[in-house]
Amino acid sequence: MNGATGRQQCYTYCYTTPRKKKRAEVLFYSTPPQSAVGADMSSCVLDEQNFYRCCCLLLQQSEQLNDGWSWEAVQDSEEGYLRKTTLRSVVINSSTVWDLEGSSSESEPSDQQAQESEQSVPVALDEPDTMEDDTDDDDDEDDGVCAVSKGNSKVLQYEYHIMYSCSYSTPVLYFRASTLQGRSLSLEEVWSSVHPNFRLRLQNSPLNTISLQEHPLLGQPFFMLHPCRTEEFMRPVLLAAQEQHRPVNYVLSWLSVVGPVVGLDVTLRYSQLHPAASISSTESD
Amino acid sequence: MADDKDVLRDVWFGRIPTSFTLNQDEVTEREAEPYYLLLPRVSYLTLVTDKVKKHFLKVMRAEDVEEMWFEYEGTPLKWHYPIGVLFDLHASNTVLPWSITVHFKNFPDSDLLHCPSSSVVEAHFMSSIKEADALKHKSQVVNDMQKKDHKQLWMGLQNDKFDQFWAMNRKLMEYPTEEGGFRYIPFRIYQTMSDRPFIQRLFRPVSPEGNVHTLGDLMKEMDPAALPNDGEPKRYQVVIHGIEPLLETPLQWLSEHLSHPDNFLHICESHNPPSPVLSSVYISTPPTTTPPLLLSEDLFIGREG
Repeated sequence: MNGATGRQQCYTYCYTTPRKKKRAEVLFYSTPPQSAVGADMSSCVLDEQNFYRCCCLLLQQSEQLNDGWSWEAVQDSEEGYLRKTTLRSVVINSSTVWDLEGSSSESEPSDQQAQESEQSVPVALDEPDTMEDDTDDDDDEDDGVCAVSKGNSKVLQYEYHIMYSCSYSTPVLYFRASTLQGRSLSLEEVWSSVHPNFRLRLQNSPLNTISLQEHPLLGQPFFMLHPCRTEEFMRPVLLAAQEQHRPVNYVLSWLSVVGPVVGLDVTLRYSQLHPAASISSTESD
Repeated sequence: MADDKDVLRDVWFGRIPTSFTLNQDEVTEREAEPYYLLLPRVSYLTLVTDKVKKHFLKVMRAEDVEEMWFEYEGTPLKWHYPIGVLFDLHASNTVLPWSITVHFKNFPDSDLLHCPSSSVVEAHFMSSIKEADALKHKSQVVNDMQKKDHKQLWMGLQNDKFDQFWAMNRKLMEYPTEEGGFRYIPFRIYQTMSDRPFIQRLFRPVSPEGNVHTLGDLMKEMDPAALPNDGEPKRYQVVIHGIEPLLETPLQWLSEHLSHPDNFLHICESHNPPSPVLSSVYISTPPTTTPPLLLSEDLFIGREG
């Protein structure tokens, strides 16, 4: 087992936002080469078997971290999906105007509703003990308390599913959101709870966006982040890891990029887990 | 012998005579008459029912009208499925016209997707086309098209323009000759008695050894229970566009000729016999040496006009 190179490593993936030009950290959980290999490195796609292996690994780590992921299997088969529910306190207002802390950057879309003097910002309060160990991480605009005025602050239940798309050979994120009374959120409300920096990027490419879709296993309406651009942003991540001979958990890396867009944070502590502790069995060569 | 191109036309112009009746719990100012329409099998409910909405709005007050939705015998109809699929799946044993109930209240948002405008239908349609090309060509053909080409596909469907649509769609039906077919076949199999909405998996049109895969090969792989063992009676019909193609039909040929405009083969496993009015396609010789493949029932796809 490559003990030395197998420890946690960080790789910065450049995800520039129009406003702050910050970089979001994407963390790879590196594993010994003979266990779950995240992807076919030559083509940067993920085949179904590797998807299940990556999910298995993520599950083991999630259990250690108490991060709440579970596996829902389709009856009598290996097929299934990762599932997690969270509670978020979000300001829901379909005419939400975003206060970007004083700087009215020209790159922001001019919002025709920007007449309100006080503006509301979503406050996402994650479950406890997810971000405690942040040290170098960039400030996440969602952390902390911002000026909250118009619009209701509601506690919402979010349910996230990670499934495999055989058409695109990538994971896909499905989610739904409802109030505690059980009322489902509309697409407009979900949009208004997406951080403006993410919203701008999503709106520019309509197919790389959030839409209401039929869940392929359950048949019910879910929101989905379209997977057709996944290979684009995963490629630099995978190629860099390949150059440095470090395997990658494709699903975990992918999730840390797309999850925050829809309010799902991936704790940095995944990177701090000892690889050996979570590998129960390794693939035979 | 019919030309293969005639099959494309027969598929495109297939129609289902439908009557729309207002749900009796809706509040109306006077009695609402049913509205009759020939629905295109290959289109989507919310795209072709503006007239239905206008008709019923005449007898209703604006405040009683919310998002329109459709139901057949208690089952909400998913607008994002092609109309012909909904019919073959839920109503193929019904006496025509197909009797659909119209609702303007109590939208079942745990069952149905919202459809506030035709741009939602367009996004869904284009998303299917993109996904189909991801399977057939690793997205190369659809990504090489320009935005106006994508628009042409959509406008062709929306305005029922066969030539306009196929001028562009033929590119999505090409493949390198040496490959013998697409990379994978875009298909979905719908079963009435299943929790799953559909079966969709990777399946190649040609085996690594070079054998041409048939519809029967696909069904055997995806749902072995669908096909009877020798000597047993048929348990299900395998229905595409209201007809039962022979199980020996090459899958690649089916994908090129019996796909919906979204480039997917939508296959229904039905307990019910296909409606006798609606469909017959005389499938001509695929480009191999086999004799013409006839369908198991002699029926006709009604052409409009």
